[in-house]
Amino acid sequence: MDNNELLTRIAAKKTDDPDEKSGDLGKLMKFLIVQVKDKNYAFFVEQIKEIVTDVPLYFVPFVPPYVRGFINRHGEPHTVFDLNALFEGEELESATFLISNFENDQIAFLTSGVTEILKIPENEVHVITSAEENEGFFLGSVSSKGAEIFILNLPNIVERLEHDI
Amino acid sequence: MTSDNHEFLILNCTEMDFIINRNQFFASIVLEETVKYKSQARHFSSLMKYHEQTLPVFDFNAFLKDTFGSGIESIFNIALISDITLFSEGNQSAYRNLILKENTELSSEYLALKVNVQAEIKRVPLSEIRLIPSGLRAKLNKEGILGCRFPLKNNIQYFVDIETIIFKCIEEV
Repeated sequence: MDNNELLTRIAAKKTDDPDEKSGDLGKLMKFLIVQVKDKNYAFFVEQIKEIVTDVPLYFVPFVPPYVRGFINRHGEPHTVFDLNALFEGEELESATFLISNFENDQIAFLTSGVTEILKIPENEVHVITSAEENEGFFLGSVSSKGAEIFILNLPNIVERLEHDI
Repeated sequence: MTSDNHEFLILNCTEMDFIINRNQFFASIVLEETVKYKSQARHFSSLMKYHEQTLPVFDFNAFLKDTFGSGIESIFNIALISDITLFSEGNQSAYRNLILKENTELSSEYLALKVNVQAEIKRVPLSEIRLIPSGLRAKLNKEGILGCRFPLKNNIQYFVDIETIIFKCIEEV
């Protein structure tokens, strides 16, 4: 069997995960607020299915510096994005990973930790109209304890990888 | 009933392991005597004799160290012998145009791959091998990394394609 044949057989064995959630947010919106070094960011709770800590991070070559490697979740490799490396150009020292709910890719985000779950009315979400300054990485912001927290635009963050490799 | 198992060579290294399709080489011998060799292509650094033929030796240990920061420096090594004529036509042509032009004495049939002695051939269920996550799959496949496997809690094995890896080093010249 050559390698192409092996890959075809491996791919055929992979079944789709039926546990996909809808994107319906309703009027009250829920955000997972996470710390990345000294900054907080907001994920839509529906985008994250698991938080894991202290699992080994495996090096992957030929990738941009903000891709820190793979982690193993239930036998499946997940690509780890380091948001601090992407936004600030400096690797984050941490072992807390958020496993995302992406339908077509297995992606995890490296963070310092989860701060809180924030529930706020939809009309209190501040929308960002210009994507020029932040390269489209943020959708808007929410206020918590007097601070503005950016909401991450995960599809755009992940799409960045396509341009960089 | 067809078996889900396939034979792979498993190379044990320091930070991670590597698995190679057993069908990509047909013999393995202890690598004893080699002669230094200078090629424009990376990691072709020695020559060896095999059945009266002179084979270029691709230093896979050095490739792993350069690319993954992993690998074992060993004074005992094994040469895996690959049949070049089984490789793609494009790769054979690249080989003829560079390696065979550099040294016309070299075998046009075989090349050797130097690996460390921490290697074993095992049958691995294909169901245990995972494809690379989709965002990186095309890029890593192009570089010769086809998949991975997690046989233990704290270990990863990368499934690598030696033909792609060797010929990337030739093409980049």
